[in-house]
Amino acid sequence: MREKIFCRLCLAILLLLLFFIVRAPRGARLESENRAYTAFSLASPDGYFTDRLPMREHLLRFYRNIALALGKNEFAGAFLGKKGYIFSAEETSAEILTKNLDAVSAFADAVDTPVYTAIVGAKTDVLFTCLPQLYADDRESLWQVLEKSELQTVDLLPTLRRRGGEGKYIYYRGDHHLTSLGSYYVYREIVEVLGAAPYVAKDFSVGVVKADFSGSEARKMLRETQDRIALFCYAGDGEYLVENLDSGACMHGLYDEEKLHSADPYGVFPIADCGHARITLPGAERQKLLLLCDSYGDALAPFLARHYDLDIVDPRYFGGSVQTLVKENSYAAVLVYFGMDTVAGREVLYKIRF
Amino acid sequence: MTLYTAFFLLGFLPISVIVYYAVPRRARYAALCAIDLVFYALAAGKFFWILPLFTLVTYGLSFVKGRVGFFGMLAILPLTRLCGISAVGVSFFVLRAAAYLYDGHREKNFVRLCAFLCLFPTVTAGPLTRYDALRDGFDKPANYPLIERGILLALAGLVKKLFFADALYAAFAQFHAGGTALSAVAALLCYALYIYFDFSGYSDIAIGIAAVFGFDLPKNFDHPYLSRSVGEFFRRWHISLGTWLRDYVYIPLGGSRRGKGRMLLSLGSVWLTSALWHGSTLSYLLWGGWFFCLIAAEKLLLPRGVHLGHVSTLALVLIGWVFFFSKTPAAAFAFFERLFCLGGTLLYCRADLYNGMRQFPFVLLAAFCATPILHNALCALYRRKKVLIYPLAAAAFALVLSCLAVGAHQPFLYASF
Repeated sequence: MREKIFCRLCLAILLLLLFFIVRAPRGARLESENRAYTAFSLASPDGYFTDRLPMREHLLRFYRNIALALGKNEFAGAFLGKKGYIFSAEETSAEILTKNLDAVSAFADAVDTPVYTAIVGAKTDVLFTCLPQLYADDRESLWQVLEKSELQTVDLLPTLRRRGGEGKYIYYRGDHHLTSLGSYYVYREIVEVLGAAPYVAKDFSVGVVKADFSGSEARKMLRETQDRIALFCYAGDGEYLVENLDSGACMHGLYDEEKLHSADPYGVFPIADCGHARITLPGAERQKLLLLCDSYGDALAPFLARHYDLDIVDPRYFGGSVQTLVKENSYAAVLVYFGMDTVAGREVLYKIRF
Repeated sequence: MTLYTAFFLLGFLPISVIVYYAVPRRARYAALCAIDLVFYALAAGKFFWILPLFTLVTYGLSFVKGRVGFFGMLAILPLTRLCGISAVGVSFFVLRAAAYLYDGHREKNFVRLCAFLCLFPTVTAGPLTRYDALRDGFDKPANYPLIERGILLALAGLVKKLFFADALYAAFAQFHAGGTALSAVAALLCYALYIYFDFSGYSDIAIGIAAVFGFDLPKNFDHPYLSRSVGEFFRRWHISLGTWLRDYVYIPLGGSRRGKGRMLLSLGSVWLTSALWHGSTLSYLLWGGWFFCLIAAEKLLLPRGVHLGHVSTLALVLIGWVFFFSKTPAAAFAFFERLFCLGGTLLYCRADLYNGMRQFPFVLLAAFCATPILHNALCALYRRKKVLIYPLAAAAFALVLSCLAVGAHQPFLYASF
């Protein structure tokens, strides 16, 4: 009798789960992972089912807690470091980096405009004191590849390592991006190489606009890192025109503070996830700079905009020809600005060869 | 679709159970046949027609006298490989159908034969079942104690596959990518545990689900890493394949009763068949050759009743796995070079300590779970205080759901054979 009850109860539980899965709201987003629910497809139906599991986040936390209890500091492609930092466990290779750098080299040869390359280190390259005990990774070989390349580079690593070593808040604890402060230090290095005089810290008014930001690594780890998003503002920055040339949308001001309350507060930097954007100061005659970048460029752009009218192109989403863009515009320079994890992880720059 | 995916467990399985038990008992085999074919169509994709066609061939061959059917069926396997047909389950199907033909069964009802040969829990990756073991399961009323045991076994198998095997494979890949002797040792240990949890877990799921449908299948693994000899290891590892090879290759060729020469010939044929069944690469041939040599040496050199012992057996088996996971013999020998610290290989590096520190507790837990201690304790609890098993089953189910939520599972290794 007990067996019969057990068997029927099991069947009832499975049917109940099926009911919940089928009845789960369609089209809604998985807020914790900042992505849409997987659509049903007979060829690969599991994503549909796993995304709609009842109490999915609790289940994920349950698994994560077991993994952590068993001594693994890693979960869903992120790992825990010291001082509350969460690092991204990206797969990188010197071969991919070389291919991307070769593409930049070919691009630099094809255009008449000076091309500068600045690569931002990941937290694992910079925040050594925050890495887990005994952590070891052969990332130095990547930097050696960059060093050996014949590109005109801006070496950001020493500055970032020095500032990180001083305990400055240059990376978000739960996100791979540089904070605005980190971007400010980077800006100073870059602008000097470009031949302009960088503004000093007192030329900006810095204000924290969000104190409970949990970035992509925090979301992967299902942790709240309470990171602070601070914005570097300056007089007249509301006059800048930011145009998203993909969607045609435009706005005044360098920051979109409405996004601070969305699922992805990093969208406060208004060029995020955009293939081609433009930041100009209407009515002013200024030099133009082409910024070829990934999402690391989002936080850098407001600083550069103080010196240049910017065309910002993310080759991952840009459908046009970057070389044509350079030929049609008289840019003072082109700045190739990417995270090391991006250029050593994926072939993202092959398009700029054309 | 495989037996450990969310779609199968939360969609296909409950609906199939309802359909199967809702139809009158006499028509259940037809319902099961339909379920089998839908399952196979979802699992095999464009090759959905392969097994129904092969079932038809088996049906035809069963009326041919002599061993023609048996050898004809075995010939299908290299033929499909030559034709580039890589449908899941073909290699298991061929062995199951060949055994059916060898045993001289002549099931007149084609649908019933199809329900047996394509039995969905076992169709893609075994265990290999005999017609005698299944014939009685078709028309019986719901056997709740068997179904309950099946559910618990399937849960245990899911934990083995989704919780242990997937994480062990990740650990193996991490250590295998290293370049030191210590990482090679760790990789080998992780692989040994991974392949055990992956395959025995899958077998438990298959046997458990078959039990839910009323079929009582024998176990496929019996804690093989505790064996005292290599021969014993393979009597406890993938038991259904070992039994098949013994009954349809080793014994028909003379076995060990016609002198040492004949014994070596039979044994060599068994390992050649096994290696070729796994794949026609040089690495598998080396794997088969390694174990042939070991078992032949055991049979010829060791006096009756004397065993190699647990540690020596384990070490020899682990060496054999190197051929199994290496894609080429060169890769296998390069791994041995690392393993034995030859050719300037470093003993260890900082990354080994970091990875070791993170993986050690989990691997230790996995190693403990691979011993019979936990299994015996749970069996004792099931017999004496069954009510305590249910909370454990609920916890295992929560763990399985959490593994499903994490997603991205390592494909079952034996599904590729």
